[in-house]
Amino acid sequence: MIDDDLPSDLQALFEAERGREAPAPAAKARVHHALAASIGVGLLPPSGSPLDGAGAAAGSGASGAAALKAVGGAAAGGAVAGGAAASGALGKGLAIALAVTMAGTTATGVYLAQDDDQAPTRELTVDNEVPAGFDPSLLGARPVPASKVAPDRPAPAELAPVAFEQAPAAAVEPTPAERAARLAAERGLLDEARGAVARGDGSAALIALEAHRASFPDGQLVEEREALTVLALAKLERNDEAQVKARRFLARWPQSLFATAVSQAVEAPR
Amino acid sequence: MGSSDTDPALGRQATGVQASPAPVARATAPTTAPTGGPRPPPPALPEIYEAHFGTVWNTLKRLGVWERDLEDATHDVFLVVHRRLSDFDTTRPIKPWLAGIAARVASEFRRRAQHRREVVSDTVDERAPDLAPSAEVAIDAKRRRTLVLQGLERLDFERRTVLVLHDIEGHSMPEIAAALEENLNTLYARLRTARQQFAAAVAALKGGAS
Repeated sequence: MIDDDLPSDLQALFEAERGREAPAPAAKARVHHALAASIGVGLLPPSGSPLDGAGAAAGSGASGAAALKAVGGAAAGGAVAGGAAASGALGKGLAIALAVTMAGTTATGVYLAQDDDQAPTRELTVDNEVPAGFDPSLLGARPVPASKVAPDRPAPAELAPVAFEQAPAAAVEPTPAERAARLAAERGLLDEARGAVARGDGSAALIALEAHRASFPDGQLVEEREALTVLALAKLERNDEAQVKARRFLARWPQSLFATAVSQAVEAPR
Repeated sequence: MGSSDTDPALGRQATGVQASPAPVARATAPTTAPTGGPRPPPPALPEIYEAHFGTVWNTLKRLGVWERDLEDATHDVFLVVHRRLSDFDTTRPIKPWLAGIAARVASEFRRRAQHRREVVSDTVDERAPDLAPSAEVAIDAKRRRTLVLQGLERLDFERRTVLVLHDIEGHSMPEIAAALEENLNTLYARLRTARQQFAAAVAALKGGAS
């Protein structure tokens, strides 16, 4: 048996290594934050353990005072059923989520989900703090009448809306570091969208773009986001929507560096 | 998802991680046998993150990811987990699956580190301990851990991986074979060689040789 081959001195060393200390909580919080920004999923910390200050401060796009907190139960906002478009992007059976807003002083998680083959699409709640720019229809979501949302059904933990709460807004200018972190967060989402477009995965691109739209409705990279939206819609052969978006884009940014790509996308959508 | 030099979805350049350890034939049965009913759903990502963050972090460290890259590498592991969770066979333990993903991510980070022509021994963050024979009995746990990392640095990545996953982290060889999609007998041979080399490296370190 191979385990018998291990000399006792090596066993002692390995035993010591197994006792290696856990990573710092701040590192865990920073990774958590980065992961949430990358995939748009509101990862919930353990109950009652908001992100600590160090992690929140380091989190991309989030204010240093932000604390993460789950808000259970159905929210009063519009409910959407979704996932058809998104399921192709992230794989069957994967609850996908989508928008984590971190703009301004309040951030709200919006989830779309689709169960595995044996379960129907689940309804998702959109918290009533959805930013004005959020457009669930881009993800293939459709409105669900409020009457169809079972009022007594508890929201599954993984689907519970998540809110990033922080102290009341103080009208202070972001520091250069905060601006840089915010830009990096924007860039990360758009990089993901661009990559998805490049590999022909329009659904995944729209997910990332909606996450950006929800998080940074007036971000520094709005122009690029809207251009990518056109390209993503064209990939999905949602040509009418792509045309509309393209017209708006070209009207708003006629001199854009993305204008050619946008025009070509709607001329010959693939 | 297969290996790729550019995986924009990972948000980084040239990550190229093979994300999905596919199920392979196992010599032994998994610890949790299927009941014949539908497979249970995989745990949610937040649960996995909370339960296994520290394990993944330390696995990456043992596999030679630099201290300064550990956050990025851990992020990438859980990003792959997120993407591949629906493929995870819930009749199997999750730790080996995570370890397989971590090994692929670590491999990629080390490859990039070598491209940057930097010294990989940066992974050993503590100063080299005084390991003179007279002081050997007084080596504390931290110094032993330092010695382990230094010894691991002298192995190539494949041998290091099997040694870490089996001898330190306690995964069974069939589990490792499944997670890494490698031949079981090949892994046994690799482990024996790894142990020999690690023992020699430790002896050299204790003796002050470089």
